Amino acid sequence: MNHRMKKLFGGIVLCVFVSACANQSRQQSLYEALGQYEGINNITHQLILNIAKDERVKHRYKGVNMSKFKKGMSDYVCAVVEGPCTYGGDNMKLVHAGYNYTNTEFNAIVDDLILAMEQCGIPVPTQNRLLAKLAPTYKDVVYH
Amino acid sequence: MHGKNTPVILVMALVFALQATVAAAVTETDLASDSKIKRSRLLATGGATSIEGAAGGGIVPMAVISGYGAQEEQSAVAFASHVDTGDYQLDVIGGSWSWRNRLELSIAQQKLSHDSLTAALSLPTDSISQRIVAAKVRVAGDLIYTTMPQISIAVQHKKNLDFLVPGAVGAKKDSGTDLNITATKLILGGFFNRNLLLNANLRYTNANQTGLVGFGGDKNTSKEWLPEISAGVLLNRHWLVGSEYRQKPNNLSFIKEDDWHTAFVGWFPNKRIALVAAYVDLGEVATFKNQTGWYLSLQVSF
Repeated sequence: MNHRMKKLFGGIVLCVFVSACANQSRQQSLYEALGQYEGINNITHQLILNIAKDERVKHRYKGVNMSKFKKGMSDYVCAVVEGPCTYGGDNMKLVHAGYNYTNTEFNAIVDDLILAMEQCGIPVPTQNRLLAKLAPTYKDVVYH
Repeated sequence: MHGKNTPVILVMALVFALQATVAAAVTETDLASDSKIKRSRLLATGGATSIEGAAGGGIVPMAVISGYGAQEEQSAVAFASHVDTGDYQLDVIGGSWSWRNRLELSIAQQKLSHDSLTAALSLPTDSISQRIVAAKVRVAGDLIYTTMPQISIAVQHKKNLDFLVPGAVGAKKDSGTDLNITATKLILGGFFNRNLLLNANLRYTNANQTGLVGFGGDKNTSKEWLPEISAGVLLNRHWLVGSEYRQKPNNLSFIKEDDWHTAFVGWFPNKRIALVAAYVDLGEVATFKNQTGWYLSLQVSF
């Protein structure tokens, strides 16, 4: 690498770091980006509509009190994204224990959630930030 | 030269024809239909098909299992790829079947056209074909849902079907088996809140130009571990941009072999189709220097 190339490369690296930091401080909280509790509740509502049409998972919700599920889900997401909510339900492992939910079903729900976010007009960066918060629950949800 | 563009035009025509038959908002359409969705992994997580038939990018395989089958499902893909670097053209067709996001079995038929080399050396043939049969197993992790990357081990058995020219330039064998150990991770929001794809493969090989110029040579016959890496960013669910690097062996004293680079754009309009276009830099290939050009690959999933 010659001197000029090194300078150019250094410049690019510096740019990336400076803009990354600037991006961090300017970044809206995820709770705000999702449209606060109302926005989260709209996504949950759309998610339930999608699940109800999804042959892969809809049978799992037979007999489930959907208004209770909706509040629980919205409160959970609100708490996970550090919004001003307290999630009063059981932890994810306990909620899903004994049902032997599968990898296919988990993917189906994520599919339905992404579609719900698209339908609610949530921008891609915000979608990704929420998915990053929810993805680690996988180990608590499937095959228990 | 005119005839060489025909495969590209055919692939493009096929893509537009297919796109017209498949609605863009596939998930909404799928949910509205009465039939159960049979392939549940998320869009783009099956990757495209690399030139050796394995799920991956263009020249570097990934640890992902082909298609969109989750752990209770199966899937299949068919693909066609074309590379043109001016002095060489490579055409590949093939397919794979995957089971429970665990096992991937693939087959690929490669045909390298080398008109320039034939003219320069007055060779009796103008192409070399190779068949690759491969198996990949996911041994640990999940691309998205575990902290650990998805890790796969694969074997690729390659049989050179036109060994005359490879044998004449010093290649020792007409067949060989590559071993791949691959790790792939999708970091959600990992690059300015866009999803970041990181991939590394270690290949144990003695294949010259992937095996198209045979296996082993006068300089070196034994296999060696060579690194291959790729990285990309998903701009949204449908568009992946990235780059690949593949280190190559250098077994023949008569013809030098360079490392390969690509810069690619992948388009995943739905779970049926993936289209990849890339700029490739293959360096010196069998006496012809600066082999740069274009790569186009179409994958259809079932």
